[in-house]
This record gives sequence, structure tokens and C-alpha cells, in this order.
Amino acid sequence: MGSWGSRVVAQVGDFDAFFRAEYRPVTGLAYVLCGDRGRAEDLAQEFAAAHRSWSKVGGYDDPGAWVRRVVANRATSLRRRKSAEDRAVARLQSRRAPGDGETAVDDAAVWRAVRALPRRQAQVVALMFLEDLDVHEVARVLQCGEATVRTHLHRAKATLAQRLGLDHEAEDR
Amino acid sequence: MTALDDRLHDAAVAVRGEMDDVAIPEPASLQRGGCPRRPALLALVGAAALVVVISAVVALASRDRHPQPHSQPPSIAAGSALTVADLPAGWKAEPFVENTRPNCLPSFTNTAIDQATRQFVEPSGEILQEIVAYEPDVAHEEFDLASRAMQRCSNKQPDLPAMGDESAAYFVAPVRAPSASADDADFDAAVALVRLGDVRIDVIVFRRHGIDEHTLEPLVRAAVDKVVATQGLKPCALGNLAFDYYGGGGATGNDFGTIRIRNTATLPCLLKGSSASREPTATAAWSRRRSHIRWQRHSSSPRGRHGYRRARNRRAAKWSATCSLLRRTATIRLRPRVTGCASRTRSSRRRGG
Repeated sequence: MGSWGSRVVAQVGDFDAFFRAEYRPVTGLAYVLCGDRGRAEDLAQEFAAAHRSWSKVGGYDDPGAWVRRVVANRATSLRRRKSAEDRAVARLQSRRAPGDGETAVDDAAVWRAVRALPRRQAQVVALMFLEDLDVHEVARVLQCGEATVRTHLHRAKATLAQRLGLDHEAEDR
Repeated sequence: MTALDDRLHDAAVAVRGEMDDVAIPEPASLQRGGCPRRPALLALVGAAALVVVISAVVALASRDRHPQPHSQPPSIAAGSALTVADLPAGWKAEPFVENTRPNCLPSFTNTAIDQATRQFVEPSGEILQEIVAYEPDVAHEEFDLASRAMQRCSNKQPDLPAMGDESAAYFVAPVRAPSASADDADFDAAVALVRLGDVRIDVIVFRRHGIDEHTLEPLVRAAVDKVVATQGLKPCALGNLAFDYYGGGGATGNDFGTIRIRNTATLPCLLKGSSASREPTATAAWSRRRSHIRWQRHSSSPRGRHGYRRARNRRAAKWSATCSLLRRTATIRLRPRVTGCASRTRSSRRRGG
């Protein structure tokens, strides 16, 4: 896990390497889940919590999973709290020219559809496609069962295919 | 792989590319902690600052009407005598200037003390300073005039009748000992309302050395609240003086900062100042003001006023008599010759016409 799929084994006392390897992926995860780049960078500051508790977090089997779980939960919580603000921002962004601070229109539509999913489904999709994790790794990050992850993924894909008007026939991973 | 998977992978690649532009901060910058709470924290800090500003504005606005002592009095070097040089930094001391508002020169009569005292009671009910000036033998008319002038001033500025925006206003009302002669120089006590630039020392009461407080009239003695400084005695010790700072200055709604000096000792003391630096002192105010008092007494004495009236009446009467004479003369000279017809008649009669 880390560096968009290349696992970094962080050791206790090696927080700097862990931070540099995980910062961008975690920021990207926060970005796709909260939809705002600035807010995503703020969310990525959850590394500070890891830094403060590095003696404990660094001892985990996968500190990156812990950070992702915290960031994913905070991103969805923040998104819920700021729903009104997001709607206002969305109205403003609808008047902007495409490409200013957002991904391309199609990609943005995809991630907006992902963010519209239920919290766990959105987290599963983001972790699986953005972080390129398998079901086992996603289950470890979210601290839930693999069957649960598959269920969330199946439902998420069904909803996304319906909303985006795309084909969804193949089996889930 | 379905079309949805392709689409999701493409979207993920786009986000990864966008994240490649994100600058990785230094890990040391994480010491400050959770940034997601930063907006809320900033909002809280901003709200707190706004509340503080609003409270300060409200407090300053109310302080103008109901001054409250500042919790931090000016600091003065311990063990030194108090001078105007000890005023807080940024406060200026200026030489005394004569009151340019003669209609606002307060003084007091025997019967007007209570009234004058009330004039100096601030709207909040706090006594600004007791009025002590009283001279039983000085012509009462003088003080009547001044008292009425003070009342006029007080109607405009009830808390500070003699204070103008431009003039450094102060007044000295004399108190004369029973043993003193009628000479103005023998006035023995005075009240000074002093303004030192931006600083207003409300009332400084001082007496000449050797004058027993018991020689003052009972009414005056009862009116004296604090004898802050006394000529010829020891300088006021720092430990015996208390400052109350009432703020003031630009944009506070109060053009005059106020420092109220209180002598907490049982004995009077001298509020010292440096004459070399032209900084005013209570005694300097007294000396300078004395000539003004003398002038005021003579100019406003009833004899003077009445003498002027008599002279004016005499001049008017004289002028009236002159005019009357002139009018009579003019009347004689300018009397129209309306007798011509008669003259002609008479001449014609003489000619036989």
C-alpha cells in the first residue's frame, strides 16, 4: 500500500519516509471522497495524528491502512457536515469553465457519482479503484469483512452503472 | 472488465495525475496538528475577536459617560516624587494656556457651593471632585458672575464645564485665610482644574505652607475631599498616590484621557513638577492664575461695573445735553424763513403795494 499501489513498509522511527510515500495517495483518496482539493489537503493533515502517535501507529502492521481509514471516515463526515456548502459550491462550479481546479468533466462526473453513493460504498470504490487495492486490502483498511466489501462493491457498481448509464455485467473482483 | 470499470480506472488515473502536482509538505509542519479543524478554529478565533472588539467599543462608549478606573495604572519609578514627567509614555505635558473661554470660568460663591458641587457630579452619580473654593470676603458679585457662567458651561458640558477643545482650561478659585489681608496675594488655597495636553488631572487642591486646615471655613473644609498637594511640603510619595486611569484618546469617543490622582496619605503633599522644562505644576498654575484672578476681580467688581455705568450714563447725559443744545441751535439756524410773505407784505405795505 502506498505510492499508488506500491507498498511501503513503514518502520517505527521512519515517519518521514512513510509520510512522503503516503501523502499523495492519501490526499487523492480524500480528494475523491470529499470532492475538494483544498479540503483534501487539509484532511491529509491527519498524518499529524499519525505523527503524534507514531510510536503506536508505527507499530501497526500497515500504518497506511490506519491513515486511510481515518482520512476516509473524516472525508465522508466532512462531506456530510458540509453538504449545504457543497451544494452552494456545486452551483458556483456549474458556472465555471471546465478544468479550473477540477478534474475533467467526465472524470468529475464519475467521482461525483461515487461521492453520491452511501459512505461505505464510496469508500470501497475509492480504495479499490484509486488505490488499486484488492478486496482483502480494502477489508483491512475499512476493518470489515471481505464479504461485506464485495457486497458494497456490487451495490456501488450497480448504482454507478445506472447513474452513469454504463454497462455492468462482469463479476466483481 | 466492464465499461464501468474502465471508466472508474480512467477517473482514478486522472486523479493520480492531479495528485502528482500536489506538493508534499515537510513532515515537520505537521507538528501543529489537525488541519481539518483549522477552519472551525479560525471561525472560533474570529468570533471571539469580534466579540472582544464589540465589547471594547461598547465599553469605550459607555466609559465616556461613566468612566471606570483602568485596572492598570501608569507605572512610576518607585521611590521618586511624582512629576508630570512620570506620565505614561505617549502622553504629553503642555504649558498652561489661559482659558480662552471666559464664559466658562467657574468660580463659586458662598451660597453656590452646593450647587457648584452638584455641577461636578457626573451623570453616573460619581463625584468627579468636591469643590473647595470659597472666599468669604471677596466681592460676591464676582463669583456670582463666574458661577452663572459656570452654570452656562455646565449645561453644555456637565462633567467638565471649563474644558474646551482647544483651550487648556483650568481654573483657580481662591480661598483666603481669616488672618490674611485683602490683597490677592494672600490667597492661601486654590483649586486647579488642570489639563496637560491629552491628560486631564481633574482637580488638584493645594494650600500654602503654614495654613492650618482648620483655618478654612467649615463649609470649605467639609467640601474638601482630598488635599492632593501642598506648597512647601514634602513631595508626594509614590506610595501615597494612586492613579485612576480612565482612558481616552482618538476614536474612543473621549477626546480627553483622564488620570485621576488621589492622595491616599493622611497628610497633604506637593505634586512636583519641573519648571525648567516648562512643565506645569500645581504651584505654577496658582501663580499664573493669581494675576488673572486679580484682573477678574477688578474688572467685574460691582464698583467697576457700576462706575462704568455711571460714567456711561454721565457721558450719555452729557452727550444728550450737547445734542439737545445742538438740536436747539440747529433748530434756530435751520428754522425755515416762512415770514417772507409777511415781510413782503410789510415791505409792500411800506411801498404801498
